[in-house]
This record gives sequence, structure tokens and C-alpha cells, in this order.
Amino acid sequence: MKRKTYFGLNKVVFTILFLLVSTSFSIAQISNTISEVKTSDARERQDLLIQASLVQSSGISEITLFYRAFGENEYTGRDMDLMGSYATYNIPGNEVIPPFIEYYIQINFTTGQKETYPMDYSTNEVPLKIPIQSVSPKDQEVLILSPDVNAKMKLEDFFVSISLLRASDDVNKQATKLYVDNYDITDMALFADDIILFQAVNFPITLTPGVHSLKVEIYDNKNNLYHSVSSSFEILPEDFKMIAKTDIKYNLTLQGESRNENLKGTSTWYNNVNIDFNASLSDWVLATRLYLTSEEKKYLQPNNRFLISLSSDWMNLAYGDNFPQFPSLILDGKRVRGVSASVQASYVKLQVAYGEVSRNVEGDFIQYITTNQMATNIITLADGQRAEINPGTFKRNLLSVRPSLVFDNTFQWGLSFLHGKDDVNSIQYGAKPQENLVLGTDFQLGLDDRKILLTAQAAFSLFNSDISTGTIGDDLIDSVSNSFNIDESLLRNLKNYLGPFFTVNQFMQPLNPQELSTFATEAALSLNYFNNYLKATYIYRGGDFQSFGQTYLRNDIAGINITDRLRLFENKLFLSIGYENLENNLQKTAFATTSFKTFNTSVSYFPRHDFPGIVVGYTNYAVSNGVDLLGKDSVKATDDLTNRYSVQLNYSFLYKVKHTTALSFFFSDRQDKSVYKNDVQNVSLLFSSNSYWTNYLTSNFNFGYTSSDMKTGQLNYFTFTLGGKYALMNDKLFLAASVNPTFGDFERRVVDMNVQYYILQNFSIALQARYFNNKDFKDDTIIGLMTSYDLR
Amino acid sequence: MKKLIFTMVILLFSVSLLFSGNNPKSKNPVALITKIVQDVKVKTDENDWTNAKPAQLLESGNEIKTGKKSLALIKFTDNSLLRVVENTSLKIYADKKTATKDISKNTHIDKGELGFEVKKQQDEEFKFTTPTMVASIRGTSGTVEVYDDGTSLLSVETGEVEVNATLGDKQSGNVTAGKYATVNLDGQLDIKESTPEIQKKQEKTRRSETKKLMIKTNKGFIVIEYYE
Repeated sequence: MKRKTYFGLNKVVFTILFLLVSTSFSIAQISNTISEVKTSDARERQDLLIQASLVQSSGISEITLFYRAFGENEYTGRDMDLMGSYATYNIPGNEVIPPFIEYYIQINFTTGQKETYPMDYSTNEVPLKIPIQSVSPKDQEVLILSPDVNAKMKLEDFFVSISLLRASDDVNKQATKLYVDNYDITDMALFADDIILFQAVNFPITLTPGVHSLKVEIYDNKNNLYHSVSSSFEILPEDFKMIAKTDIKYNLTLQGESRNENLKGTSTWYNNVNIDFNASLSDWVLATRLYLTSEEKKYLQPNNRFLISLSSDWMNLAYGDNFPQFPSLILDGKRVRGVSASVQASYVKLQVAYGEVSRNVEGDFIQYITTNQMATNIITLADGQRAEINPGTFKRNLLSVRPSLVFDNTFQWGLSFLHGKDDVNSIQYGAKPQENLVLGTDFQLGLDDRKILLTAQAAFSLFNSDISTGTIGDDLIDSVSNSFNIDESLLRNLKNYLGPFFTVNQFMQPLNPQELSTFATEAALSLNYFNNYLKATYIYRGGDFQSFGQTYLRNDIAGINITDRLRLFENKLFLSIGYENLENNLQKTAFATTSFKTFNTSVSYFPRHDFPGIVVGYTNYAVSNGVDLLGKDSVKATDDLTNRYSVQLNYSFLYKVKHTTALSFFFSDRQDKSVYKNDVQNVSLLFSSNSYWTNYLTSNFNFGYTSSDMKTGQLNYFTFTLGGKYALMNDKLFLAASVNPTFGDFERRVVDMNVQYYILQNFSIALQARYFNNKDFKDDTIIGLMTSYDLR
Repeated sequence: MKKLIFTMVILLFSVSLLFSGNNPKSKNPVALITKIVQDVKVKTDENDWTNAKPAQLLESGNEIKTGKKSLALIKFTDNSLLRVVENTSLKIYADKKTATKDISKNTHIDKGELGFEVKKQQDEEFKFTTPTMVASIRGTSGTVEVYDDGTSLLSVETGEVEVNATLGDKQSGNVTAGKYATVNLDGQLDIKESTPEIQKKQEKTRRSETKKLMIKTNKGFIVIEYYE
């Protein structure tokens, strides 16, 4: 008898379904660049995948995701991986903290222009929110003994084993339900005291090779759902090539794409190839990546990517485009093309990164200048003549080193050094090459299993904004010291001591190191007791602090940030409160000092079953510089107050079939009391629903309403998305289509179609077509052909 | 009609399951075998030594032994794991406390070697006994080995273990992460820093991957799976 086959998804299919269908939260906003952002299940301490679908990728130089947890005073900026028409970033699990994560996306174009998603973030600074569901103590009541999470096994080795040893007395163990890929297998399981067993090989069901999901639902004595836990595992194909198989595990993924974008009447072809190869032997892991794109241009920063890395428990060595992680004031989130390494022996750890952070792109000569005209784009050429140019970009190399002492998770102390310098000879037409030196130290002390955690870091930077003239000559020291009113001997000492390492001249900051303008420090103390997480942070960042390894740091700011998160009722209820008070103008160089006061509060309720998860948030943000609004300097006065309210609901329920829904409401009101009266009101309502009709058919419906009222005018629009996905031919063929009309002040209709066919289980080809019917300009089309091959 | 057939099939399966060799009529299982490579045998109250099968449930008092190039993975109901490597024989004891949802475990090793990863709660006990020592695990991973001469070796990768010699001098001590202890027949306890050789043993017990060899014969393929 032929065995019934169901849900035979290999990993690639699973990933596609995961991203395209099973996403927990999907947000559609109006953007010229991003059509939709989807996220994976947002659960505490689990990686959170953010995927932005691009309307068009032409002219994009980079896409950066900015995100922050509740109460954090600033966003973390991370470059998203650009692959064809998607940009993705995986927020590490340790940064995924309830009650929510706020984020926005910034798109940088090759023309130098920038755009944000949501588009109006640049004016109202209202980020998007992803509610984070907390872990539950009830998770410990259901122990999945087999298969292990993400375990890979042959079908013959597969069986499910659940232990309810720790289940509460309120649980009716016999009522437990087991699902594999949403297929109820409870009736085929054996219940033996605390253990429940299911053996697939004994039943007329075949799990085909690929990734599968396992879900366990336990019910209370009144037959109400008490809790559920999920896991995933992978069935390996029967492969007789295992003869003399070595201990080396590997997988190779090849992806190719050819895409035509016809935008505003201009047709452009894009071709991309991505190759990932990973291999492991014992605790050694080799990872390589090569991404080649037709968007690689000599006159732009690199779009191609390559990386080869080797790592083990005690060392890591990488060459290519990598993102070394040093303390956040030194080097963090910056792409370095070069070598990075770390090695740990006993309690000593050494990290090194060296490479190029920007490559040389030649500028353009415009004309010779014979007058005394001064401008930032007028330079003196090597032959002494002055010329007006379109400045290019100098090649910039960076070296960073950090030795540290590490005692498990208890104690850590490190010293950091970073030096970055533009290569003045790398281009002919460039202006103001720069140099940067940063010295820092960081410290971490964790007590009582890190329930008490003290972290601190400090850094001092030297920055030279123009090294084209080199180190200052002795003859110029007198005049410079007079001009800047600093001690001549100090400048001379600086030149003598620093000269061998750093270009000392009148463009260096600080010229007087006794000033704290280039000093930055942060210290935080967190206490995690009685289900209460309290964290207090102090930051100080001088106005001139600069690190070439940190692009997204906010300078000229100091103050405190206090957050408190209380978990109640077995993590079902979260109460969060935060207060931040920051001030700028630390060196008293500005006309007035501006204070930024933020009060944040949030209540989250995750009942886990039979009721929606709710997150209600309120933020009060006040900015004021104390200048009299009616006085003579009223044009310099800043005094505005922003109130933000948000309600988000997530609900999964069964009505005939399973539905996953999300509803969000945001209201933001900024009242600007200054003479500029830049009042902004913003309202948005978003609803999304995914329905799982059969194992093969899913559908989604999204609705969004956004209304912005600004001094410059109003922007109101509705947007709908209706889509569906269907699997045919025993999961070999996937069809997906959606329509997305937008009405109001922004009118557009988008039709999206995807067809993916699996020629082999690990080899697929996909066709994607998008049609944009624009109201005020010519229609756009995007047609792409993608292929993917996976070998392991 | 289809429903009737389906129900019959389910009933048939349930009955066959209850009487199948894979899942003996275990009343109070405390552990199960999650992986078997080559020669693994189980002895229960009802049956003398029989070949073990994957997903076989184990009760308190059951014995397990492994042959050459063999491996057995055993999981207790609290998800604690034993990796029993070749030529090892042991007996498991467990006492479940329904009120506190605890299970106290004791594994007696006659000879051979195993690795452990303990997932116990605060008040639960997890002990290893050998002919020469009692080791109380405070968590969380390491190895236990009993040599042919009766000497016991315990290494700790993470956590801490209290060791008491049961013979002669009856010395005792605590073995912390990165150290190992030997207990001889005279009851002498010797605690030392871990060596590359010990780390190799730990690495060996962590491995549960197997190799397969396929031999083509006139009547088809013979597949031999083995643990190196």
C-alpha cells in the first residue's frame, strides 16, 4: 500500500513558507522602495527575522535597520542583507526583549538621497512596533525529549517523545494533543504515565525529507487549552552515499537571479549570484559567502560581498566583508573589508580587525579657480593650481585591537584601540581626507548569576577633519595657538608625542585634550530579581566624539535612562516604565542647552490562548531649550511636546480553520510651541490576517489606514492587500498572487505574482512578476527569474 | 464508512502498539532510549537481556549494556541525558515524587563509560554510583568511567559534583568544572585539572553521529551502521 505523503517541505521550501506565509506580523505601509515588512514569530530571547520586500532595488546603495528595545535611548543601526528584491536582518535573540521592539528602516540611494520606512518617520519620528511575547514558566511543564530542537535524522530514527513530568496538577495529561506540521497525530500516540510516544515508522504516514514542525498542546481538567510548545526537526533524505562518510558536515547553497525593472519608462536589468558554503568538523566551522551583482560599479561603494571565516570554541578568523563587534563606542555594526580575528587562551582574549571601510572613488574635475574664492569643493591640486571639483571618496582603512580579560560570565575588562585614516593618494579629486584615533576601555561585572550586572565603557577620540596638509610645521604652531587660544607648548607637545601616530594640525579635535568634547562614557547597572528587571544607565558623549567604527552614534548628549519591567501572572502580564532625561550642548558652544525628556510606559498582556495578546503603550516626549518664546531670541527657541499612543492586538484562533490576525493602532500628536509651529498629527490603523485553509492553501488579507496632518499639508490614504498561496503537485509547485490597491492622497495598484517549481528536491526555479499601476506617472513592471540549489 | 475504517485502523494500531516489542507495557517509565547504535541490550524485571529498540521505555531497576563500537542515548523524563558508549553496563534507578514533580535518579555503572547532561531542578538528586564512589551531580555535564580494575574516573565540564569514595579511606571532595577526579579501591580521591586526554574523552561521549557502510551483494544491499 502506498504510504500517504504530506507536508514534505525541504528546508528551502520551509524557509520560503516561513517568510511568505507563516510570519507573525506583516506591515504594509506606503513607500516608494519597500512594499512590505514581515517578521518571524516575535518571542523573547529568540532570533527575530525582519524581511523587507523591495518594490524596486534600483539605485539602492544600502538599507539599514534601526531598532531598539523598550526604554532604550537610541537605536541600533544594522546593515540589512540585500539579496535581489529582499533585504533581511536577523535581530539576535539576546536583544529581543518584551514588551516590544521599535524599528524603522533607512534606505540610502546611490545619489546620496535617503528614504525611511515608514516614509513619514523622517518627519514624525514614529517608529513601527513589534510586540514581543515573553517566555512562559509553563514551557518547562512540557519537555520534548525527542526529537531535539532542530535535530536532523533519518525517517527510521524519528519518533516523538514528550514528558509531562513537570506538568501541573491542573493538567489533564490524557487530553494532550500532538501535531506534526499541523497534522493531528494524537490518536496514534501512546500515553504511558508521564511519557507520550509517537513513532512515525509504525504508521501509514511518511514524513518526506525536509524541515517539519512539532506542536504539543496541553489542556487543563476543564478541557481548556492550558499551554502549547513548538519545536522543529529535519528529516534527512535516504542517502546511500554515506559509505565511508567523514565527520565533515557541509552545505552549499547557490542562488541566482535575473531581474528586469521598468520604472518610469527606464528599463534596467539586474543579475545577482549568491553562493554560500558552510562546513564543520568537530567544533570547527568554515563559512564562506560570495555575492556578485551587476550593481557593482567602480564609481560606487562595493555592492559585491565576499567572506571566508573559520571559527572554533576558542578562535575566529574571517577575511572579507565582515562586521566585527567591539565595544559599541569603538567598532560596532560597521562593514570592514579585510581581516578580523579573535583568539582566547585561558582568561585572555585578543580581538583584531583590519581592513577597508570605504574604497576610493575618484571625483570629477569641474574647473580651475583663479580667484580667492573659498568653498568646500575647491581644493589645491598637486601642481599647486586650485580647482573646483565634485569630491570623490578616499580609501579609508581601519585597524582596531582589543585585548581583554574574561572570567566566564562574571568579569570582563578590555582595552580598545582604533585607528582609521583616509589614504590621501588614493584619489586625485578629493576634499578633506580625515583621520581618527580612539582609545577606550570597557568593564563588565556580573554577580549572582548575572542578576546583578554592572557594565561600563569609556573612550577618548582624536579626529582630524583635514589631513591633506599633513602635520603642522613648527612655523605655524605660533599662529595656530594664537588663533585657537591654546598654549603653544601644549600644541608642540602634542605634535612631538602624537606626531608619529597621528596627523597633528589645526584641524585636529580636540586641540586641547583637557576638554571633554571627544570623550564618551556609558555605565549601566541592572538588577533582575522577583520578576522585576530594573536598569539604570548614564551616558555622556562629547560633541566631537567620533569613531570611524561607529556610524550611528548620537553625540553631544548626556543624561540618565531608567527602565523597569515587571512580569506578573506567569509572564502573562508585563508592566514597563521608562524615563530618560538627556541634555546636549555639553561644551557650551551652542546658543542654548536643549533637554530631551522621555516618559515611556507600556502594559502587555499575553493570555496565550482564547484571548488576544494586547500591548498598550504611551510615550511622552518633551524637547525644550528654555529660550523665551516671546523674547528677542524667540526664533532660536525650541519647545515641543509629543504624545504617542499605541494599541496592538495579536490573536490566533480556530474558526473552521486556523487564522492568525494582528491589529495595530497608533496615534501621535506633536505640539510645537516655537515660532515655527511644526505641529504634526499622525494616525495609523493596520490589520493583517493569515488563514490556513488546507495544508496546501493559505491566504492573507491586510488593511491599512494612515493619516498625517503636518504644517506642509495632509496625507491620507488606505491600502489593502489580498493574497493567497497554493501548493500543487505534491509540494513541487507553489503559486502565490496578491493585489494591493492604495486609495486617497497616494493612489497606486500593485499586482504581485510568484511561481516556484521544484525541479529536484533541492533545486528550484521561480518567476516573480510585479505590476504597478500608478496614478500620476507611467506604470512600472518588475519581472525576475530566480533559481536556487541546495546541497548538503 | 471511511470513519469506521479509520477508527478500526487506529484501534488496531493502539493494540499493536501496546503489544509491540518497541514499547513494552511500561507502567511507570522513568526514561527512554532515544538512540541505539549496534549492540545495545536491556534487562527488565520481566525479561532477561533482549535487544534494545529506539523509543523503548525504561523503568526503575532496568539494566542496559552496550557492546563494541556501540552507543545508547538515554533520556530521563526530566530531559537529563546519558550517552552510554561502548562496552558499558549500568542500571538505572529513579524515584518520582508526584507532589513536587521531581524525579531523583541514580545510575549505577558496573563498567565502561558514559557522558551526562543533567537538567535537574534545585531539590532533585542525580547520583552516579560505581564500585568505588558515589557522585552527587549538582549540574550539569561531564563523564563517568569505570576501569576494569574498579577505579572510577569522573570529569566535570560544567557545574560541580560532590564525590564520596565508598571503600577504604572513604575520602570525599568537590570536583568543579575543568577538573577530574579518580577514586581507587582504597577509597582515595585524587582531584586534578583536566588534561587533553580527558577532554578527548568528553568529546568522544558527546558524539552520537554514526557512520554507515553499504555492501552490495547478489541479494541487494547490506547497510552496516557503526559508531566510531
